[in-house]
Amino acid sequence: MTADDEFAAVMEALRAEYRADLAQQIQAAVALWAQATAAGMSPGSLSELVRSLHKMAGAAGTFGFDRVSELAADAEARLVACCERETAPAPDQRAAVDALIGELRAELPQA
Amino acid sequence: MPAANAFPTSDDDVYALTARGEAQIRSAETDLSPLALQLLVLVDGKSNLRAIRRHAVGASGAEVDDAIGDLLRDGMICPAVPVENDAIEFEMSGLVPAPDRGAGAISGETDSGLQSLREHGYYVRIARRPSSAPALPQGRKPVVIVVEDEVHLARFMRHFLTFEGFEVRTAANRAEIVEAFRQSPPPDLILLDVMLPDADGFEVLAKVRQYPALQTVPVIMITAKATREAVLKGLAGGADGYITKPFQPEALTTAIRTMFGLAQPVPSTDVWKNDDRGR
Repeated sequence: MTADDEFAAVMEALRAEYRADLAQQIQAAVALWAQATAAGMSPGSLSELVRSLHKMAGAAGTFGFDRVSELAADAEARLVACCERETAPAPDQRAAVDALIGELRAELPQA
Repeated sequence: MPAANAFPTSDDDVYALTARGEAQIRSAETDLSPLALQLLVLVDGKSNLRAIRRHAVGASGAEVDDAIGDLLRDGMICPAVPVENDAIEFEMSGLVPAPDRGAGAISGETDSGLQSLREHGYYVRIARRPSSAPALPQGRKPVVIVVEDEVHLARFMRHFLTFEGFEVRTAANRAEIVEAFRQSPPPDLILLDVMLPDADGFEVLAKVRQYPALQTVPVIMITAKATREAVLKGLAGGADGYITKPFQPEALTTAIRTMFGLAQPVPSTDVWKNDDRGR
């Protein structure tokens, strides 16, 4: 086995680990969104979700899950301003994030 | 529309990046000055001169105009005509101090230009080749400190950089960052995430640049903070590079080689050989 092959094998193992964890991360994001909805979208209820989406946006694409990364980045961008301004998302933003979270959930079987 | 190769004149002149200019902020390999890079980031996505002048930091108006003129002459930017929905005169959230904006800067994602860029997948791969490349250490492996709190990415970077011949120290929070910097020898390279659980990468960068022993150590910000103003803040804070996540390992290799003045490797195949990449 060449060094390149060995490296590729390590990278593939890391990717498999990430793939397994990503399913849990998406489920956690879905649950956090449901909690935030139940809590009336208070900014405090969104901060953990924003942080989770931020990490997902950065890591998922690096490990090859581009669609998950795009969806997470989009949702994060729509919610981060609400957290900074300590305001609840406007109805149109809320609907957009709801759709994005739905799409993220749909990525679960592939993740 | 301003004439090509002309000095900038009117605030309403609109500019766009050329392919050559875009390569400077997307290829992880550039020789441009921090001011020139800053201006390319500001022009990115099409901007008018008013917005560029307003948001440029650390340079006088004359210096900005001179640098814009140089970028025009060097074919990095070109005059452009705005079309519908172009956000040519953008606002930023106030992370980057702008000379004519008060303390009550708007907070949050108010950069409509950025929104436009985001829709097209905003990213940068900036790595400045230093005028005198730092020498790689003799008799030991170069040390890299990786500040990254996403456990999978940290593990990936540890393996990748070890494979590239580095001794790797990882840190995921403030205490681990302090510990990583306390160890000897000091780092030869720092890769710095921005959003950390109890620290801010920009603050870490500022502290690093305060220490004489670390002032010339190359720092590359590697972050999912993919906003124009975050990139500008990193460059203004003394970062030598800025790579937005997600990133390909090749971008990291290219950036590191640029920092140390090394030849670039022949492009290889994607390390992620699984065929479900991108789904």
